[in-house]
Formats: sequence, structure tokens, C-alpha cells
Amino acid sequence: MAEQILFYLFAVIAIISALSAVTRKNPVVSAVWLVSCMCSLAVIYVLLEAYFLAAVQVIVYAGAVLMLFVFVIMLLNLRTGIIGQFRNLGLKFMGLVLTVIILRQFYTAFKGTSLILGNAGGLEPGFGEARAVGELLFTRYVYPLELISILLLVAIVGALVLAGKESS
Amino acid sequence: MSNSFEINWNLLLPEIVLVTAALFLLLLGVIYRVRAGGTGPALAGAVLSLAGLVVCAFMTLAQWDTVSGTFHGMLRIDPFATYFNLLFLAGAAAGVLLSVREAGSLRGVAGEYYALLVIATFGMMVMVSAADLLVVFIGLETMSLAVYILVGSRREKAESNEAALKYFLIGAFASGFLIYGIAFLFGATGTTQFRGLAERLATTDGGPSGLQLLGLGLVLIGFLFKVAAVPFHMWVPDAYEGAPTPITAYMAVAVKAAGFAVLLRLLNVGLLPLASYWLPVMWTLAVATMLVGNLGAIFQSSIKRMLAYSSIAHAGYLLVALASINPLAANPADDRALLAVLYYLAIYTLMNVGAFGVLIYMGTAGRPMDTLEQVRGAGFRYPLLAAAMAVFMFSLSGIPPTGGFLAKFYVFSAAIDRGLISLAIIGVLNSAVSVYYYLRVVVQMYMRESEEPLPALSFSLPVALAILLSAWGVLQLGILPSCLLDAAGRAVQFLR
Amino acid sequence: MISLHQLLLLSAVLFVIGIAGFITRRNIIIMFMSVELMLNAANLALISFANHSGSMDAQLIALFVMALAAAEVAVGLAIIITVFRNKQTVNVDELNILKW
Repeated sequence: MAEQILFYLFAVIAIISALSAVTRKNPVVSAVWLVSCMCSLAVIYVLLEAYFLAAVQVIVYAGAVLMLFVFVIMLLNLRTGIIGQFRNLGLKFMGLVLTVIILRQFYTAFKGTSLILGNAGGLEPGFGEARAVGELLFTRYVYPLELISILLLVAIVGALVLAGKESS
Repeated sequence: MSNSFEINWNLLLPEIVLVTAALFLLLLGVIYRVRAGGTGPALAGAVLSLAGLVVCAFMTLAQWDTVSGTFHGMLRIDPFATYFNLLFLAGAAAGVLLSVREAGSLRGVAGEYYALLVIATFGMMVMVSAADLLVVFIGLETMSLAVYILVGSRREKAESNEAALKYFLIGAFASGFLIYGIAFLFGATGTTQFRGLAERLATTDGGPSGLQLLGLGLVLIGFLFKVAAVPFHMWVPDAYEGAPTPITAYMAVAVKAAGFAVLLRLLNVGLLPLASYWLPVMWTLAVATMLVGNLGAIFQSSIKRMLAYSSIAHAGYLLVALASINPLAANPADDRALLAVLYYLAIYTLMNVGAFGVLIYMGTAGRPMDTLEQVRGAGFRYPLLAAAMAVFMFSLSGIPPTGGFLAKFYVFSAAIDRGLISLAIIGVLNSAVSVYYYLRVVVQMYMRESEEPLPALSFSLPVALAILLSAWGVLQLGILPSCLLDAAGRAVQFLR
Repeated sequence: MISLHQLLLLSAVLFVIGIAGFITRRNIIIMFMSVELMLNAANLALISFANHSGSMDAQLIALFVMALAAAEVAVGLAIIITVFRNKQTVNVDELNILKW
């Protein structure tokens, strides 16, 4: 029961934060709302017994990714004058209509599906902990792991090529 | 679940060679930056990356008969993967050759530029030899990130920045759809491996569930953004026009081929049980894409932008082939639609490399070749170049005896085989419209005088080589297509 | 145990908020944040599936998505910086050298 209450509480916080994040004028405020959204998702991850991922969510998303956002916003010194507003009203309305349609689509898809997956015997002990994640990561998922290392290399090189100091 | 560590690294050798080459290229940047060399790093980078690509191509060629998988079923090398790997390597080599002349203006990042080009190719090879949606996704992102950066590599130019930004935003948006779709497919089937996906989708009682269809739809949206199908095409003209021309050529050929290769494997292996759902979607998108691409191209005065719309139109012709796939064919090698896609993509690579190559060759530092007016009179001033351009334009519009004609012929006859007569007719009409804007370039070159005398062009061996090889390929494969068709036939046997 | 329906609905709501934000805002940085929201929605769906199926695979996929999002952010923000250096704007509608 406590699980249910916590879930509802943080689901509501996540939705409110997400809505605020995409509607605020000032990107810094948006970023802070997004942090709140990510952290409430981390709580839900804990409820779902994804302990390691909850930690990563806080450290990587709330900690690194959004810090980087805030850092760039500050670096560019965005003043209100050059901060973009919404697009015109027509597009806003279209966005709203589209949102409702897509959401309805999702809802009917979920409703028409029996979502009983094979989890009769409960979760194994240690499910979602760092050990279980690590074991899989270095056995079955070793190929994607190697690939991700190249992807991160691309990101580093890319950031340097694009934003690094001009060397003439 | 097998926990064994029996990994067959040999299958991964070509990819390892590419990454090693890329790492050396990165080191190159460091070495030369210390010495503050002039054109040294650009030239050395080109030589090193070409060497890496050639070695990799030989290793890939050696895998032609290999049909094997490893890494817990995440990697699968078969002739289909090998065929496309060779195509990507050719596209990358063309990208390098076309870049040599412009690399001087890269100011200190030449090593990184070539390294990213090589890594983007690596990403494509990973994608097409993947047997698991997760690996496809990571390969796709590796390729995409590297290409975003390459598009923006002329960082002092506002157009280049803007193109990179638009491409990036749309690309990131699309990968959001893709990963959400993968999540749903996993939720609906409990696996991300293509074979497992097909098995579980086929055994669902009472038709596919809502979750499966949602997954299918979202994954398709993700890929259709990448191959620039309407209505997910709006980034193409801007990204193509703003990018450095060699990168535009690379995007037009290799990135598009990679998108279609993965789509082909996904639809024919993983999502085959849902064929009755995605075939009509392909039909509709094919019509819309051909129309938008061709109508858009008519109104362009910039040749680069015209080629961007033409690449949308060609995505439309390829979608015609995807809509004509026969999901019940006992032997995929008998399915002419599949053969048509493979042949089409090879020819398409040659035509585009050639056309962009000519644009690069005709441009000079102070006068980049862009508008239709600028090619006026080129037929008399640069007879050889103009003749090559005419060949590529004929081929793009599908006039015999070029490869472009046969490619379209195979696609439309595959559609007729499957009884999609109206789709074939719409396709033929579209390609008739396209003759207008392709031949306009030829008319400008041969039938108009230029207002000011055209400047003398400096000879560039790498660009000339790329143009010459593509022109030869377009004509050779248009007259004697059998060797390419045999290879394609063997490649598609291992699909499904 | 929290029902899968509720979890998926929450994830769908977040995903759709992300789409709406991307379509309606013209500030590049907020558009980019909307994409991050979409990736988070996908992760929530994956982790819910992991919990309800008892297999860890979906959690691993979510972990890879996080690594990827970090890489994407590094490149994306670098591109935004280059644009800002040349144009002094983060409004998409003002990026009009190329006809959008």
C-alpha cells in the first residue's frame, strides 16, 4: 500500500515537473524543473527495484547532464530578450491537439493489451543491484558495452572539434 | 542463457581495423598540432584513412562466404551484411577522396575530421551486422553523432552550424521515438533479438497486441526520419545545403544506404509477422515521398538543394520496393523487390558521389559551385567534367543505358509483379517529372553561354578519380549488371 | 506491486509532454530538454517491463540509453555553442540562412 501511495505522489510530481519544464520561459528554471522530474523518476525506479539504475539516474542525469545544460545556459549568458518564446498560437494549438490524439492512441493500445508478463515467482534476490547489472554487462552485454565506448569517444572528439579553442 | 565467453573476435576484425585507423587519425591531429604544420595533417589524414578503409575492405571481402554470429547472438555476419559493409566502405572512400581538396580549410581539425568519417562508417557496419535492436540503436547513434559533427565541422560558417543544429535536433527527436518503440517491442515480446522477435510475434494468439503495433509504429518513425521519408524529411534540404559538400555526398549515399539496409533487415527478419501492417504504410509513404521530393526539386535554383530533394525522391522509389516485398516468398532470393533495393542502393551511391564530385571539382575557393547559372557554358569550357555530369544526370533521371535506368526498372517491375500497378504508374510518372529538373542542368551546361568567362580549374587527382570511377561504374553496371545482381542475389538469400 | 498499466501511462504522459515541448517551443535548449524527457519516458517503460517480467535485460537497455543520452548531450550542447558564437541566438525561427 505504501508503495502505491509513494508511486502516485512521485508520478504526480514527475508530471507537474515535466509540464513546468517545457512551459517555462527561462531555460534555467526549466532545467531545475527537469532535475526535479528526473529525481522523482529515480524514486519510482527504486520502487521498481532498479536500485543501481536509480543511482545512475541521479548521478548521470540530474548530476551530469542537467548540470551541463545549466553550465551552457550560463556560459552563453542568455538574457530574456533573446530567449525564445512559444511558436505562434496556431502551432501551439496544433501541438495540443496532437498531444491529445497521441495520448489517446497510447491509452487504447495499453488498454487492449493484457500486460501480464512472466513474473509469477517474484523477483530473484539481488534483482536490480549493482552486482546483477555488472555481471550481465560484462557477459551478455559485452558487445554493446564495447560499442558504447566508441560512442563516448565520438562525443568527446566532437565536442572538441566543435566547441574547442581555435588553433590557427 | 549461455554464460560462455566463447567470442569469435575474427568476425569483428574489419571493425577493429577501422577503429584502430580512427585512433591513429586522432593521434595525427595531436602530432601535427604540436608542430603547427600547414597542409601536412590534411594530406596525411586522407592517406591514413584511405589505407584503413582499403585494409578493412579486403578483410570484409574475405568474409564474403562467412555466415556466422557471436557475442550472444548480437552480431551476425552474413553476405547481406558484407554486401552493405562494402558499400559503406566505398561511400566512405569517396567521402575521403572528395574531402582532400577542402580539408585545407579545416584549420587544425583535419585528423579529427577523417577520424569521425571513419567512425561513422564503423557505426554503419555495426548497424547492418547487428542481430539485436539494442546494437542497431547504438550503431545508429554512433553514426549519427559522428555525422552531426561532420556537418558542423566548418564551424566558422553560419550555414554549417545551422545545418548541424537542425540535423541534430531532428535526429535526437527521432531517436527518442526509436528507443520508445524498442522499449515497447521488448515489453510485448520479452526480447530485442531479431529472430526472437519474429518467433514471438508470429505466435501471438488473436493477432498482434496494441503494444506490438505501437512498438512497430514508433520504430518505423525512428528509421523513416533517418532515411528521409515524407513526412519526416524536412531536415534534408537544410542539412544537405549547409553541410560541407563532401559530407553532403557522404550523407546522401552512405547514411541513406545504412538506413535502408537496417530497415530491410528489421522488416524482413524481426517484423516479418507484422508485414500486413507495414506494407500499406510503405505504399502510402512511397507515394508521398516521391511526390514531395520531385515537386520540391523542380523549384530549386541551387544544384545542391536540388540534389537534396532528389535524394528524398529516390528514397520514395526505394520505398516502392519496400512496399513490394513479398512476405510469403519461400526463398528471399526470388523476391525481386529485395534484389531491386540492393542494386538500387549501389547505383545510387555511384551516381551521387559522381554528381557531388563534379560540383566540388567545378567550384573554386572564391566561387563555390552552387546555382544553375554558374554551370552555364560549362559544356564548352570543361568538356570532360560536363560529360561526366551529363552521365550522372541521365542516370539519376533513369535514362538508358545507365545504371539508374535499370535500378528504376527493377523497382517498378517488382511492384508490378506484386500487383501494385497503380504504385508503379505513380512511380513512372514521378520519374518522368524528374527528367525535367535533371536535364535542366545538362541544358544549362550545353545550351547556354555564361555571362562571364569561366575560370580555369586546378587539377585534383583524388576528386577526378572519384568522378571517373563513378562514371565508369554507372555505365558498366547499366550495361552489364549481372555481376552486381549475382552478389545482391547471394546477399538477400540470408535475409529471413 | 504497482500495476504495469499505471506505469506505462505515466511514461506515455511524459513522452507526449516531450513531443509537445519539442513541437511548440522555439528555444533550442528547451527543445533539446524535451528530447531528454522523451528518453526518460522510454527508460521508465523499460524499467517497468524489467520489474514485471523479472528479467534484467530491460534494465541493461535502459543503462545503455542513459550512456547514450550523455553522449548526445555533449555533442548537442557543443553544436548549440557554435551556433550561438556565430548568430547570438537560440531561437530556431531566427536560424534562417537556410530556408527551414
